Amino acid sequence: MTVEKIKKMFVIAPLEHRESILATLQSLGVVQIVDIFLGGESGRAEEDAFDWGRIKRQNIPERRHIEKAYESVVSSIRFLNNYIPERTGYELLKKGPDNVTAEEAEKILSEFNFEEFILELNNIEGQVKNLHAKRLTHLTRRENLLPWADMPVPLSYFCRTNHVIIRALSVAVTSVEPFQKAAAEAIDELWTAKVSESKKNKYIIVMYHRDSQAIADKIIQDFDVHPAVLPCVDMTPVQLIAELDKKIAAILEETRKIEEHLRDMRDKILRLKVVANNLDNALLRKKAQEFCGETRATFLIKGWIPEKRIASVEKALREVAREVDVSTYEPKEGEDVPIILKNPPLVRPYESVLGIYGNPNYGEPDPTLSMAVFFFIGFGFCLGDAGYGIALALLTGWMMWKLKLAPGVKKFLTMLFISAISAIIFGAITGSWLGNLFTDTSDKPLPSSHLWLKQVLLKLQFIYPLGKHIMYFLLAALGVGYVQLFWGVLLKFFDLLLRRRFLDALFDPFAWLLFAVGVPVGIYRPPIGVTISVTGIALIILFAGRDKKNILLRLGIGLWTVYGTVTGFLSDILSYCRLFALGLASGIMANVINIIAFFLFAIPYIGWLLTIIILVVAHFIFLFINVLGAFIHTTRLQFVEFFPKFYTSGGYRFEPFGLRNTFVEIRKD
Amino acid sequence: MGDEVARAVMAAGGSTLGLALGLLGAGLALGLGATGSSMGVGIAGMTASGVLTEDPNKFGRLIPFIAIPGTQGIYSFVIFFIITVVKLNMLDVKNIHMPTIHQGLNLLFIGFSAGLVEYGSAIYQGKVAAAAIGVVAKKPEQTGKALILPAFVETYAVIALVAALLIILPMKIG
Repeated sequence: MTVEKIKKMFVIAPLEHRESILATLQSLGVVQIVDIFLGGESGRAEEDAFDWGRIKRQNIPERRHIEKAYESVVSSIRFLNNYIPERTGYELLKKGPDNVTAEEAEKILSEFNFEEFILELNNIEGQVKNLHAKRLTHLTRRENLLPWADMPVPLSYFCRTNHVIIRALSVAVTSVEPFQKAAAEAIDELWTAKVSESKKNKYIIVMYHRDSQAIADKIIQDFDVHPAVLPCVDMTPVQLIAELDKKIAAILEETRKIEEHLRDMRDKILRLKVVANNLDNALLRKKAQEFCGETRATFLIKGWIPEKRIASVEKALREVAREVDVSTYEPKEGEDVPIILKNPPLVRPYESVLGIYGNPNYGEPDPTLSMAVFFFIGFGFCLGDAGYGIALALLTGWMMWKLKLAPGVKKFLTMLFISAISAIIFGAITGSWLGNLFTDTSDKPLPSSHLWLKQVLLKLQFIYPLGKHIMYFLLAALGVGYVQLFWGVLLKFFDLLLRRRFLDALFDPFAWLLFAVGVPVGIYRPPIGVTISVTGIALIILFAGRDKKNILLRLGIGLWTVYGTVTGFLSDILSYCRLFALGLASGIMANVINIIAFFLFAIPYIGWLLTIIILVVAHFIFLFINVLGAFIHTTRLQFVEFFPKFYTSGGYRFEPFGLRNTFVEIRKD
Repeated sequence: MGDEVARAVMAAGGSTLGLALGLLGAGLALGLGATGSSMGVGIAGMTASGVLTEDPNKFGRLIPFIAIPGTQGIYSFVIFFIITVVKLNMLDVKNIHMPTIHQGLNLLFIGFSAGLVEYGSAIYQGKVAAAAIGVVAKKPEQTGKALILPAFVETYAVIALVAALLIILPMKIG
């Protein structure tokens, strides 16, 4: 498999068509626009043909306006989200994000005056903030009044005296006695009364003659005493508190009404999202425009385009403007070309595993197909139980069917779904159906109607990994490794042949292949096998250091490479024994659960229930652990053992300039 | 145990000492492996809770990293289970399979060495998992790559399990 063919494209058109051409390219979504000023001086004929002195970067002042509008729309959405929360968690998975059809979006964009609405919304936001602030002030005042609630006189008494000063003081409990003592000693005519007390403070009223004011102030300062600031009104504290409560209630009522009004704006938030989407795409266009060059009368776009799309893009652009020039070129060696993977539908889900490692470079073969085959086998080998395979298939199938998932997640789940089938196959031929739950009925009090199932399942089994076939099972795991490594090196060999590097192909991969072929042949026909292997090793010793002039150095490198090749071959293949171990372990672990579960069956009355609970819960947990293990170990075999044999990676995915639906999904009906 | 049974066992070459050695091997395998897994899961779990205080939404992504160092405990349990239940038939008290001293020593040494590997690899895998959790915290889109790193340590735990299975499963006891 190779990646899709991509070409370099230049579009040159008159300046007045700039907006419409970019909009057309965006709606087509098949061209990746790149910065025309980067990588222009590399001596490529098509780019040297431009008169670079006259090409300038575009100046885009209107970008600021769009950004401003975008920001205000986004903050309005965020404000409304306080009252109309977004879908989250399971609800989001079930229903997916908000969506509209293209026509609906079009209608909203032409009819909805979002600027007016945002002004209105800002107004409401101001009101809400204002009400909130007012309520806080009232609450603070109420709080301050509470200690004085037992005082039966209007508060105006405190402020309308001529000769006497009345003060309300909160005194820390620890300072009450010393304060009162000091006050009584210093002030002649002093009257005090306690109104209330809390854990920390006592609230007292003091009354003294105006002549003693200076002394009184000093004493108050000296102790942990805080004068309360009470409003000068003709109401008792209780009355005032009631009054404040009324005001607070009124504010709450008003806030509630506004919030209700805001909650009714569910359709408005959708409209705002459509607008935000639109502005976001406009910004994308402006960013793409920054990548373009301009002269006095024309502008230039540089981009990457899949070869099969060239004709349709050219046609669409000509419809926009007659005087547009589209030219495409074959990418040259060393150019940073993006890649599009091209795989059949059954293999495509495995691209998500490849993506973890890295994408192929342009011109490098895409290893997804080879990897998918071995991943399929490896995963089934590791999970190795038909019961777990069926459970995994049902679980992933249900998720894909019922839930609205992001494309990446869906791809990954599809990969697990397909791989689960492999586990079912492996489980069936090794007789593992949730371990021995159905196949070994000797120690389980199961109904006799269960027996026909046992007969059927046992008929499918022809490998006994826990019995007589244990060594064969191990050899099968290593055999998978041998085949996969062999295939990897073979791919390298063909790749070098295609690149016409015949000597490299002969002395590196071919020598390895000779050595590898000799090993299994040697088991049956030792002389022939040894001859083949030794030939391979001789090739490596003699030619691995072929770029060195010094003959001793060259042989040294050869010997060192042989050491690396042989040990690497052994350790790579032995690494596949993990398939064997995990495959056995998952079956044994399932058996353990079954034994423990049926242990509880003997408990009177509830035994059967406990058995079922243990079976369901424990098998579910072990399903998770086994799938995790199978995925990680199989992936590792691809990444560590398989890929280094032939695959370099380092490419980046083709990301066309297109329409983006960040806020709302545009449905295609 | 009655005299008759003892005599029958002796006739087959089995002995109480052999049984004791075998059980010691099973116990060491489980004890060492489960202890190591507890420590490894602990290390990964502590790091994960640190990340969760910053971003509770990463919970789902972090679960596999905490689970990975737990597999050694399961591998040890598999070894323990095969020795005690499958080979020695400990669940059936009247019909325990008695290993010879030679078989008992075999079980002891494979149980001990496998347990030791599970113990060490679980702890170090926990450390790698903790570091990988750091990757997830900063670059959630690289979760896939981060998940592969702890698997390198797991190799040795798997090798120990393979070795133990290869020695124990074909053994004929009693």
